[in-house]
Amino acid sequence: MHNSGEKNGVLLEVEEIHSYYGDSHVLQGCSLRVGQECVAVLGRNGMGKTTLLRSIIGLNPPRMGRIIWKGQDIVGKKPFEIAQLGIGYVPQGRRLFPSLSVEEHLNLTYRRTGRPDEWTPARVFELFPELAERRRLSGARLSGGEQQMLAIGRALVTNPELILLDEPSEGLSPVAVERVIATCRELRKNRIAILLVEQNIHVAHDLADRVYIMVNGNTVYESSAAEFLDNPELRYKYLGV
Amino acid sequence: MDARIIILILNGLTQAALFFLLGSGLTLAFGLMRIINLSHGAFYLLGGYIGYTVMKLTGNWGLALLAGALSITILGFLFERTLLARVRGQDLPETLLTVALSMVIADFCLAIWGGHSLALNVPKALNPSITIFGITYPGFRYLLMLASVVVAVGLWLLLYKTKLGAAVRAGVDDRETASALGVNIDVMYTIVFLISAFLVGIAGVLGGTYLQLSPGSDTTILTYALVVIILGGQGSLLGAVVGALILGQIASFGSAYAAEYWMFLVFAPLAIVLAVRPQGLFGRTV
Repeated sequence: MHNSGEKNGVLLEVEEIHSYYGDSHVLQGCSLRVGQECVAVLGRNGMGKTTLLRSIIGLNPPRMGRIIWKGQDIVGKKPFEIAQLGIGYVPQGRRLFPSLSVEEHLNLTYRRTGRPDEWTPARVFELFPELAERRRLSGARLSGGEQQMLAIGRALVTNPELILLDEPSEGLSPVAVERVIATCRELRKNRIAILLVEQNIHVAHDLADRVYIMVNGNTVYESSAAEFLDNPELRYKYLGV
Repeated sequence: MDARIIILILNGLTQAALFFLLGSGLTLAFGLMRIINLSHGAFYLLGGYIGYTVMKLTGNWGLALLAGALSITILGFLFERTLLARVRGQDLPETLLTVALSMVIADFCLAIWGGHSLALNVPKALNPSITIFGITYPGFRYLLMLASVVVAVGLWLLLYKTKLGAAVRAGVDDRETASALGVNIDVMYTIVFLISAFLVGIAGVLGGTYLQLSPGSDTTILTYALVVIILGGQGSLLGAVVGALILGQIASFGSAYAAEYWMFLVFAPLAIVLAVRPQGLFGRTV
């Protein structure tokens, strides 16, 4: 399970991208690679981690640089086209649709692949039985943990090869955080690559194969997860913890 | 209750039916696209005039209704695809574009149909006098109410019972996230804009039959439509129903009992709603 990206071929390659949020130059030549693995992007607040994920999915297209997905440059494609190429997105703060029930969330984004092991709404309900019990409820009326399950399930039924997870543990109880970690392990077992943005070191430590550190819109450090996270000096230098 | 009050209520319901046809499409388009189509009133006027001409040429009211609705749908489609889509997401150009189109249409109508008030004649078959509980009321007005109820139910089924409807609601809630999850929001825009244009085309012919068409109707009608969706809340179908019902009764009773305060009566509830609950009665804060 813990293979590095290089051995299995690179899925996503971000090359020197520059992205802006309004007039502010958020990403300044940021680069990274994701293969068949879980990659965590760490860094303090405001370093551009969320913008990085938004640039990949096309919500904040970079003005310079390339984003290569399975050999194809996807810069300039619309978000829905990028999503349909096999990238799932779990935004920061979940951002469920208040007007849609749990079931409607899954039916809306479900994309048939014809593969026998594809993710269907029914399979998501098997993975998260608590959601099945609340299938008629509005997404906005779930607990924080359940909302995160639904946000992940909603991305899962698009049958992606890579999932972008933005702060999945934010605002969750410790029990719910463990559930998120277990869910991500399950995704990895199903050979879905993960690009994870996290503040919670513990989550990154449990899940990531490799880590990138972001400082001021740039990836300044890259290593195996253990090498970075077990080194207090590095952790203090880049994250202050 | 004396007959006069009942007639006034029925008048209010007839007005409300027209207001709903005007407001429902506009509110959906507004909720989803975050732009207000200020040529909505001009669409109404043009649809009515086209219906008027078809009625004059063929004498067939049903054909006039169809012609008014379809021609505005086609106009809406062309406008959305060729012009609006170019400036998507830029609030000011989008709004100005719809204002510009409304002026072009209004002048075009003035050139073709002139400055006099015109109205479509209702065929007798569609306008029998109907007497219920001793109150006699024109059948065409009941037909207008019925049409509005059918449209409301149809829109509700579309929005709440189909995948397309779920996609539209998701887009109204959060278009960014919906598109990042594979929903083609551009197609939703076009569909909702088409529905809105189709309904306002129908409203134009119905309004041109029940009321009159003249230069200036476009802005008056646009104002009513805006009051309906601001009262009800942008993007809310239920809001459009309730907003139309309230405005319809105000229009009816206001013109009967306090004609000189009519404008005040229309806009006072609007001001109150904006001050107390800016998102409208059934809208959500965005």
